[in-house]
Amino acid sequence: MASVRLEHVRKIFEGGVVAVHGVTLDIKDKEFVVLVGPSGCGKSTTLRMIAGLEDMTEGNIFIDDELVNSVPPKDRDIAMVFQNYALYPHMSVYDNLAFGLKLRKFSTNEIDGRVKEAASILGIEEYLARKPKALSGGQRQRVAVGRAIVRKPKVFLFDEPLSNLDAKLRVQMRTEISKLHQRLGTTMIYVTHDQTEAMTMGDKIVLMKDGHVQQIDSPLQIYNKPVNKFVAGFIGSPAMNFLEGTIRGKKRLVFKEGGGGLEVMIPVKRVSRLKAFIGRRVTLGIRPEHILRRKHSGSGDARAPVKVKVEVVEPMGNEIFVYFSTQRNGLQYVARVDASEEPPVGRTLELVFEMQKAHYFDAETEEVIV
Amino acid sequence: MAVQHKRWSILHKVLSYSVLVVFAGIALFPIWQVVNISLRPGNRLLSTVLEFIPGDATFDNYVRLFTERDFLLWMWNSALVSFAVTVTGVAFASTAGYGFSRFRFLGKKFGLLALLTTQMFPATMLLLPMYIMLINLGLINTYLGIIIVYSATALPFCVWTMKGYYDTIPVSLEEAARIDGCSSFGAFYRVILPLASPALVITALFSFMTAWSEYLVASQILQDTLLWTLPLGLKSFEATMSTEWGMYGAASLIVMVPVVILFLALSRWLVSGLTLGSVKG
Repeated sequence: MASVRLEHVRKIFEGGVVAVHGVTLDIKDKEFVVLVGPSGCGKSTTLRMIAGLEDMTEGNIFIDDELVNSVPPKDRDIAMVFQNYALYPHMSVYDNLAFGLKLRKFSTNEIDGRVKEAASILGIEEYLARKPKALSGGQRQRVAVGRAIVRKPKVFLFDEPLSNLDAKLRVQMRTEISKLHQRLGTTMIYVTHDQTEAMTMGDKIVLMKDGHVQQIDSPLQIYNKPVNKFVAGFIGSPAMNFLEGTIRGKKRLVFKEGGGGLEVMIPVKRVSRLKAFIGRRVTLGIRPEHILRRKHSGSGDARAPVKVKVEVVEPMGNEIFVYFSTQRNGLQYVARVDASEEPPVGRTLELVFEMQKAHYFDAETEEVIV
Repeated sequence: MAVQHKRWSILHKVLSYSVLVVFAGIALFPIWQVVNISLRPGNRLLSTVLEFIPGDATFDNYVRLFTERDFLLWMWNSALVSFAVTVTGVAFASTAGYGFSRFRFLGKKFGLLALLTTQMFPATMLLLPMYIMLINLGLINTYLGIIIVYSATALPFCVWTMKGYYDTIPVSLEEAARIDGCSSFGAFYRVILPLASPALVITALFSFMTAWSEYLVASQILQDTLLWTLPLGLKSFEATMSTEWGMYGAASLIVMVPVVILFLALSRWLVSGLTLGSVKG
């Protein structure tokens, strides 16, 4: 059990490519932190620096309040699960699990006990004698997790461990890793590019882009209160709809989409924050679930009705994704509506924007306004 | 339809086996010739009789080889030199290849290119400079001299072979080992080296063969008959007036034996797919 602290950690690769720009991060004991972001955002590099597999250019890393900048990976008391499993192919599953313990000179009985305990937790007891090549992808990933848990390290590091699994197995393993965290109560740092994994697994999400941390918060806070347009667009599936336009009006403000598109009233509660942006370019962000069918919405100034043309309908069973365009400028957006009635493609549909749940971003800085 | 398919299948098999038998015959014919010559009494290189084994077959040539010549000494010399070259080759190529495969350092590209460049020059061209260097180092007529020359000749190819093989082994295996508790060298020794066994075998065989069957360089460096290796010894059967073909044949066959044994012993390590299952394929 340990805390992990990163102070202004920076990584510049050969050729001057800056992979990580001064990341500062405080991970508490027993916390499950997910580093998430698109490819090339520096999340894996950050994790590898914590592991000691990558040298830092600047900054400090502390594990359990001990500075580990120059401590080799083997002495950091961490365990890591790799994206591609990285099992030792010439060893049996048992030996793969026991390898780290043997190197640390544990007694044979202790090794045997720990290996069997880990195998039982992960349900791989019957494969202990097999070589990795005789296992399926899911079984291999379990062995990789097992190799980490036998050591009972201070910190677990996961580098996109589920990205090679099929969708069903991924969901299953996701739950198992979460259960494992509850059971072991160890600090876990998990890297993924999958926002669903980040939302469902993490106590805390660190969202990164181009080597910069964009936001550090709980999953719900990140979802409900994104600090900028990138965070708002990255978290959530289908992604948030963004409408580019300007704020017009004096007392009652209106958001007017560019290109002669939608025009929606802004609720009174938001007016004070948006007044400074009258006449300026603003991005309105609204999540698909905050666009309702008219008949299912109530009334009031927070609800802005719009007429749209249905272009594509994706029935998901429990809900329907309706891809629509506004009648004037033809830009496409998506609404997530209830599955009771499938709107016909090509027809006009009346939808309502729940404007009290909309987000407004400065079009220039992309930072959130309100 | 099924009958026709069966006929084609049989015809296909017959043709395949016929071709294989023809080529096996071509490959085995010289060996049979050598066996035949070694069993003939005297120095009969040519024979008009088409017998599989000569009617007057005798092991005289084999006996004379061990009793009248220093064959055992040559064999010992060859074994010693070949063993040293093999160990040197494996030790240096496995570590140098790893360095070239995994680390970034100044002169890496130049080093690899330089190793490749050495392969462009034939041994005959290198003879003189190597001879002069060995004289200056006082290593002419020594085991060490010939071992250095053979190792230097074999190493570039071996380093490239090892480097190429290491490149196919995922780096994440070493990283996993380093996290599990290995030092950098430990990860190489415990995880990477066992997985590189096919390349190690190739390196070992290549180094061994370089030394075991080499004549030209040995004839320049080893002038003392007590240091002669097998190829030099065998060449001594050839005289101005006559060549002892019977003994030559017998010796050739015996020289072949250690190589065959080595191939058979090491062949079980020449397996593909050692890294299967280590990473997502």
